[in-house]
Amino acid sequence: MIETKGLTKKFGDIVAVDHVDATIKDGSVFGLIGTNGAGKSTFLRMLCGILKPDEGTVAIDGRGVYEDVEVKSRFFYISDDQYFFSNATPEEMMDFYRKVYPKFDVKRFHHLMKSFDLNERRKINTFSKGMKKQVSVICGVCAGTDYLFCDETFDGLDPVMRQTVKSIFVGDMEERNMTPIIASHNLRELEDICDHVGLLHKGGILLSRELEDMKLNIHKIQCVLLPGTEPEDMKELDIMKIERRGSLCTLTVRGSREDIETVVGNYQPVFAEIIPLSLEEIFISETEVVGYDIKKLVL
Amino acid sequence: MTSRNLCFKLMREDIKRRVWTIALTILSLVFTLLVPVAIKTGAYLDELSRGYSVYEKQWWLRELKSFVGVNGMVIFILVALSVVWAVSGFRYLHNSRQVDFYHSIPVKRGQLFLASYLNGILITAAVYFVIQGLSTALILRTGIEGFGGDGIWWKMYLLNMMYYIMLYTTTIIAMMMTGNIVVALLGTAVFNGYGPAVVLLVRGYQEMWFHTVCETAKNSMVWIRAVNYSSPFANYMFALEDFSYGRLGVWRMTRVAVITVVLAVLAYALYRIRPSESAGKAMAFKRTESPIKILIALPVAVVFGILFYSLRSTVTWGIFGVLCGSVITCCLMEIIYHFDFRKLFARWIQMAACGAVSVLLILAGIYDWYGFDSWLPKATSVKSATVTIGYEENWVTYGKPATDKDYLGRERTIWSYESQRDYQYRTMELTDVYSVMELAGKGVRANQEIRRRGSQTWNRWSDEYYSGWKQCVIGLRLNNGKEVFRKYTIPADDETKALIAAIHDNREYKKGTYPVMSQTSADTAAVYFQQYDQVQALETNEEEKARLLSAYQKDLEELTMAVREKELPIGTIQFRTVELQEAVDYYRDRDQGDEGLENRCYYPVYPSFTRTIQAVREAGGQVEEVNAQMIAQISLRYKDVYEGEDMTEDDAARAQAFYDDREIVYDQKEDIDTLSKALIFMDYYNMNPYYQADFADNAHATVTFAQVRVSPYSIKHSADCQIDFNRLTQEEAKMYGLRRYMEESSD
Repeated sequence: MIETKGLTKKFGDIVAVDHVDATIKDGSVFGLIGTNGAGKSTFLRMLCGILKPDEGTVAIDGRGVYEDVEVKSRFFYISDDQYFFSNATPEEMMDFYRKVYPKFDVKRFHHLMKSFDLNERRKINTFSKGMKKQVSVICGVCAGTDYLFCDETFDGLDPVMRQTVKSIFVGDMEERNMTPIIASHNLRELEDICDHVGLLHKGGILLSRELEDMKLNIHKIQCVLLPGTEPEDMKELDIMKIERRGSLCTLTVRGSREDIETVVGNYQPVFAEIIPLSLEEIFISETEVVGYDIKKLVL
Repeated sequence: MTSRNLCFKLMREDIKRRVWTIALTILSLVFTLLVPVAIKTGAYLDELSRGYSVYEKQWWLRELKSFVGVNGMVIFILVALSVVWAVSGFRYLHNSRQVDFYHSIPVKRGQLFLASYLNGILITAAVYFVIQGLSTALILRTGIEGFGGDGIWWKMYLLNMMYYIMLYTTTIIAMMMTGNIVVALLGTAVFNGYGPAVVLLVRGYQEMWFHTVCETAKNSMVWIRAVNYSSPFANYMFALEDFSYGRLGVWRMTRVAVITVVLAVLAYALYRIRPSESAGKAMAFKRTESPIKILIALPVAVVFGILFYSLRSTVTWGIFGVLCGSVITCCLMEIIYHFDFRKLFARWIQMAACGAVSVLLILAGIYDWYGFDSWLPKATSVKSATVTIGYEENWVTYGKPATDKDYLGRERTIWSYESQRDYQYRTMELTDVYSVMELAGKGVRANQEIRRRGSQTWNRWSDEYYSGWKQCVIGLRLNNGKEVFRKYTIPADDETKALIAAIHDNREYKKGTYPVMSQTSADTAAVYFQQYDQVQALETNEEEKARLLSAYQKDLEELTMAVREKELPIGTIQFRTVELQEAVDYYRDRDQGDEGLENRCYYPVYPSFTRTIQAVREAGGQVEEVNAQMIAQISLRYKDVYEGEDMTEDDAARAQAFYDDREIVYDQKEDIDTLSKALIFMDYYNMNPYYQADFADNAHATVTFAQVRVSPYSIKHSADCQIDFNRLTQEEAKMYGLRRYMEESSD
């Protein structure tokens, strides 16, 4: 488990990360959302011991990360613009990584390179941006580490490749309990993979919740009420948002599914149906509650 | 995986990344060392087949040794390589992508540092060792005698490598302290050049405004030592010089090794604490920015101040220079720090403070706020003093023969010089300090007057003043044990002349000025008397030698300023010391030139030295004043003469004649009779500049002696002379076209 307490980093007068407390549980996918400059990369660079926090701590299973080789061997960091040695080939990069990551799976590396149709002996600097991302992801998953820190890793991958990578992540999570921590500025990119989402804004963590918890407590109901009945009349509901299109109302309501169904049923609607919320909608609702307009932040 | 294994693996990986650096190292050393040696040894073997002399052999030996010895090109290459290896090894620290990569992998920063650091040393060491070894082998293959026995090749190898590591580590420190390669290179230049530059600046500042500061052997050594230890590069250069003279000891090299280790530890510590986010910034540690800026801005501002002050010698221009230097440097540093021109006035308060401090430094120099030049102790606090008056006694030979080694390590005899000032300070004990303190007081007041006039350089040394000034160096030994030297420029008025005469006539002054006064007959190997063209070896026994020496010491001790103003020497005498005789014999035995050793340490014999003259005669020597019979001809060489509008036709015709001929030789008896009485032999005049002569300004004479008298020591056939107007009538002077300086100007 990765735990940060009061994690703070300043660059001169700019506070990049401001007293962030976060817990990342093993075996889940942690999504770190935020706009450009929100502090995602800084947060990740502190997690993997590149930057030393000005205040606060980062610990993996209780051990500090900075300059602890044993702890650092438990994660692999894929930066948003991964460095490869000049004129190096994927094979040469693999050769380097296997020396520093004891569990590096060479066989799997060759297999994945072949599967992704990447030439191991071609110079990486001749690869496209997406191909470079693929090489770095392959190196990352083959390193055999417990955690994989990905900074905007999906940015630049085509949809097919994005799904492939996600499926590799899922496979590794199932097989060896790998924990990917994925930073992105795009909510939609993380929707189908994240278990837990942290929203960073202006260096501070605005929200950090299990996706399931959020889904269980917020629901969207489409209904047509009896003439003379307005959604506002349903005082028992904790309505967060009301949208009307003719007689069709769409309500975003906080509460358990059963309670909401019972209350709405009491008003004998002409039609009522609970429909799923997207991650984006959940975020909009949650952040609006705390006074932020998420649309301006990440969409 | 053990740390050592990982370190070796990282080193191997690092080598893969730096193949170009290895290639550059090999190529540069091959072409600056191995190839030239191969060419030179081939040339030597060709020469050898034709046969060569001993001298040629030594020349070849020296040439070949110079390749594997102190080789300027190799040294230049090694210095350049130290920078290249340091930059290529740690440049990743200046790129945030690379920093993220290296610092996120599970490797301790210490191991990353060690792998790069060791590669930079070991690869160069290995390549240089092989090439130096091969070069040595090529030279040895020629079979040249005298090569290899002194181990010069491996000693030079060790020396160069030690300094390579030092310079390499220094550049790494610059890399650690910065986040940009260009700034790191500037930093390297600062580390190696700042120290010597500041030492030179302090010296320049001192020379500019500490008018009475005096350089002695002791304090000049302090400057040299300061430059020597002011930077790794300066220290390297001094070490090379010492090495070439065989003066580099194990202790010195141990010190270099210790300093290098300290620097390496510092580099490592900086690596550990260096923030990764500093990649791409100018400086890695923000807190170093201001101190570095101030440390650079202050000296530069003072340099600008000195420069502008030198141009016009006014306070306004001095302050203008200081402010320019301060503002330009501070702005430039801020632009570099921020990589943004618009930030040039960031931290303007520091800039203002720098300017203010620099202005204070300049004003302190201009107005002597330190009180250095006005310092004068009470006479009662002075135990004894020493005085050097101008350059009047610079004919005295100070020092003694000494043995030394040449660059090939061969023993040789040289003259080890000692400055007049150092000798005087070592031996002179003027206990009656009244005249000295009066002289110093005049010096202080004169200096204050010079400052009051604006310290303008041309005021100090203009024609108006120059002839009327006297330079004196006064050394004071204070009762509290402190020793102080001051150099004063004093108006040469009657009072000064009287004070100088009083000091000159003091026997303690003579004892502290002329080494012969401390000589004993036991130290004396032989006595030589020289007059004009002839040197006579006085065949003396021990008793006569002692008598001669004693007579001369007595005469010299009693020599007064009044006598020197009226008399010129009529001959010179040498009490050749045992040491000097041995040195002369050393060269004579080897049939080599003795570098003029035989002619050193001659002292003047004045006409009033009756005891000496009598003793010389008693020892069989001939003493006679110059006369017409001795002279075969006198040649007068004329300089350009004044040809103004007010020149008479007669003058113009004569001037033209002189101008055309330039040199006129007089060999008729009447001419020689007339001119010989006015001759002043420069060799003798140089021994007594107090003599009040009135020289002809437009001509000087060369006397050719009538015959070389039978003497194995005869050294001269002619002598340079001036013509003294005081000994000629006006008609005689006119007849030979001789003029006084003032006459010429007034025409």
